[in-house]
Amino acid sequence: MKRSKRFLSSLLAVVLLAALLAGCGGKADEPAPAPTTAAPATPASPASPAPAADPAPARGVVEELRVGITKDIEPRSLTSESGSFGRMNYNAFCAGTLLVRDSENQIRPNLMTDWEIAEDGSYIIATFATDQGITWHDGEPFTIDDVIFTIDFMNNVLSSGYMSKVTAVEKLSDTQLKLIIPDHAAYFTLGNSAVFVRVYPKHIWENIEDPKNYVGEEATIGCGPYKLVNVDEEARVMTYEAVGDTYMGRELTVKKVVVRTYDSQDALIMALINGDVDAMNDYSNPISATMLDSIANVPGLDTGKSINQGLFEILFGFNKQPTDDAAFRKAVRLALDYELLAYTIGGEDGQIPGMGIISPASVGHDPSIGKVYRDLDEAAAILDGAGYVDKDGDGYREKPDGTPMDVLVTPQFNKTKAAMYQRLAEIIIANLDEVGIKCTLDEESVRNSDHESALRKSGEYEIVICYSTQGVAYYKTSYLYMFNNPISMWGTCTLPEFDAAYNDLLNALNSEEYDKAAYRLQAINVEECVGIPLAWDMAYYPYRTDKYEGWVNYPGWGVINPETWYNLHPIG
Amino acid sequence: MKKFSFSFYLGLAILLFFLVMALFAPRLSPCDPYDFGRPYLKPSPEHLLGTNDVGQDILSEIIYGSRVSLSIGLVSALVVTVIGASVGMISGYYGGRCDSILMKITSIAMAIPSLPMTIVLVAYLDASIWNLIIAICITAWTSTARIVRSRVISLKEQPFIKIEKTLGGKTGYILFRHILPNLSDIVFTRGILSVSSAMLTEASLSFLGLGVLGQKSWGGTLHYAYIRNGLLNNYYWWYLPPILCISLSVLGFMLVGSAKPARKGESKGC
Repeated sequence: MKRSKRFLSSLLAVVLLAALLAGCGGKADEPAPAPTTAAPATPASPASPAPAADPAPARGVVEELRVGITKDIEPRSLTSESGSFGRMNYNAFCAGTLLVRDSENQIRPNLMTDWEIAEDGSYIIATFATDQGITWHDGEPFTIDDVIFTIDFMNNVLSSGYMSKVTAVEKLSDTQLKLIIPDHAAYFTLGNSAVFVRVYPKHIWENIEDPKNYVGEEATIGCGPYKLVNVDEEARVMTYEAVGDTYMGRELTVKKVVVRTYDSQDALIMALINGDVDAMNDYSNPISATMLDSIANVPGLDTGKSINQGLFEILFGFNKQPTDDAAFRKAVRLALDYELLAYTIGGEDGQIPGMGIISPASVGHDPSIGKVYRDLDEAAAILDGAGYVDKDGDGYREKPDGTPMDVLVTPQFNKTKAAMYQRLAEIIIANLDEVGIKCTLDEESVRNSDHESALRKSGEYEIVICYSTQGVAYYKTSYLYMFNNPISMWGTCTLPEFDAAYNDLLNALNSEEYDKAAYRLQAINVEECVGIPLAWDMAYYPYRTDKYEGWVNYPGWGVINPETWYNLHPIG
Repeated sequence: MKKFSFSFYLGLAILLFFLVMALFAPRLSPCDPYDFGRPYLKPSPEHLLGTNDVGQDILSEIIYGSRVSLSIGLVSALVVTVIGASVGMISGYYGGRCDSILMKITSIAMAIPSLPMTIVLVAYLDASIWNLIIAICITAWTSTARIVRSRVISLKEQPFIKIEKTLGGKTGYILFRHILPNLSDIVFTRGILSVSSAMLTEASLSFLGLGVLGQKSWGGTLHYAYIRNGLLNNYYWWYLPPILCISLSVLGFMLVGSAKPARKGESKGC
């Protein structure tokens, strides 16, 4: 019987293969090998070193750097972070940002040239580059009033969270401000706002009635090293030119930057392979590990591999049963197939994550915390012990009170990562099925972003699969999504010790206090299983190496970063 | 006895192949298509068409996929044919205002671009096989109605129908006893062609990610092969089998649907 079944399936396969092989004489790429069978001892390796910049002074300049991006060319406004314009500005590009980060993830000065934090964290004395001759792209000078206006504008008009801890600003001089932070979160405010907070020209934005939706030509006027000079709507290309030979005393080695929008990462990768673009920029959206085979052996193309700070994770809704029960959550953690999840997310570089969630690439990672692991027997025993047993004999467990249990699994809506979310949901549902937990995929959320967003924000979800972005990993940690507070928008965790630890993280006065609070959060997660990381992986932001040198690959960020404009030179 | 052309028998053989595949899927599949394993394996004796991005056996996916693709195609075709033939018969037989109203509705339905309309419907309805069928059927019945109506208008002028009317034959009797049998070739052909059309629509929807989530279908297999970079990496063992299956089954239905009985001497070119 078994032989005949095998024979029949072989026959079918031969018929299909014979037909398809006739049309496929080309080489078959080697598929990726099997997933790792055990978590590696070292959780991650540092970023692959980019070619070192040659300090020789006589090197030429890059006349035109071509960057590919998958974000739309609209909206084009300083107030937006969503389109190509907004995302490029994360790199201290057209907009002038207060602070930047270096390749080690440390905060570095930019328009805020110096700062001093009060011992109790209740204020910051900040110095700004308002005396360095910096002008807005319309020729107006950049002044301390622009900085004061920016903080007020962000907090009271844009309702942005970046500077929300700053309740008052005192002008000390034409270059210095005292930022008042009553809840002592000065350290967090700096970390949280680095990269993201750009300065707004007061003379333009104070006159705009509806700034959130304003997209007039003046909306793109910044005071960064590059100004927008042309937009080709048809070709979806934006051209930026350097504001001069130097910016804030540093030589700009890239004279022109052309940013082209692509529909998908597939198209962007093809453009990179063909040499149509030199590098890609896609915040928190590295290319999928499944694309690596297509670029692995392309001459002059580096995969841009580095450790990823962003990660996929599971959130539990504390407002719903059974996900408000720690025993249930722990059983879920024990039921998941992390080898398959890691491979599905990160290919051969995917790693089984630690129970503390925070990636080794992120600030505050506790290396002493063990990895998550699968043990179906232990999961079943925990469920049995907590009263989740199959009382009606249908193969699925009921809640302890005997009512049916059908857990809703909601993948976060994301156009680029949609297929990945669906695959992760499939795996999680199948894994939980193995221990008798019935789950249903929230199909409405898969198809309808409004529904998914509303569900998340209402906190009425049970299991959510989401992605913790690079920016959140920087100085908020993935626990932000679980924190039951308006700054989180979707957190529901009601555990007092978790709440206290996260508040301590927000109010840390220095890196030691921050790490201490992050360690506490990780320890709480081991015990309470507030969330589950699904994998630690690598980020790939490919770039071409055959034209320019001096690339610096920021881990999880790529070679388009705040240093690119000063480091890149033509080869030779 | 009618003698059919070679293409008819070729089409029939293709359809039988897929029908057997669908009916005996659990016995033919080497693995459970929902079982996870080692991802991205290339064809081997263990997995004859390799594995997909989550380690599911592609051959088993293809075999099980025939069930969803064929059942959606056949049920949709049945619904489309019944609706189209009924509208055409009533419109053509009664004529006058009834004909005018029904044909206006048909014209309106024909003017709606079918694939975009189906996409919109599927996006708003809950994803299920039945909703997929409803979305496919809602605009697909129109051409059958038009063709049937034309034939009925011609038939009702035939002497044998007029005699039946003169003898007091009831409308239902005339329609089902005398007119319908004379429409059988058209209805059969339209029905068969509707299957292929519905299968292509289902494959298109599934490829676009609008199919039934978690269900194995040829369009769904193609969707994941594309979106998880099987095409980009040239994993042809992943993306070609569903394309072949869709193409071959559509070809099979086309050959059967468009075949006419061979006339004597036809093969001699007389």
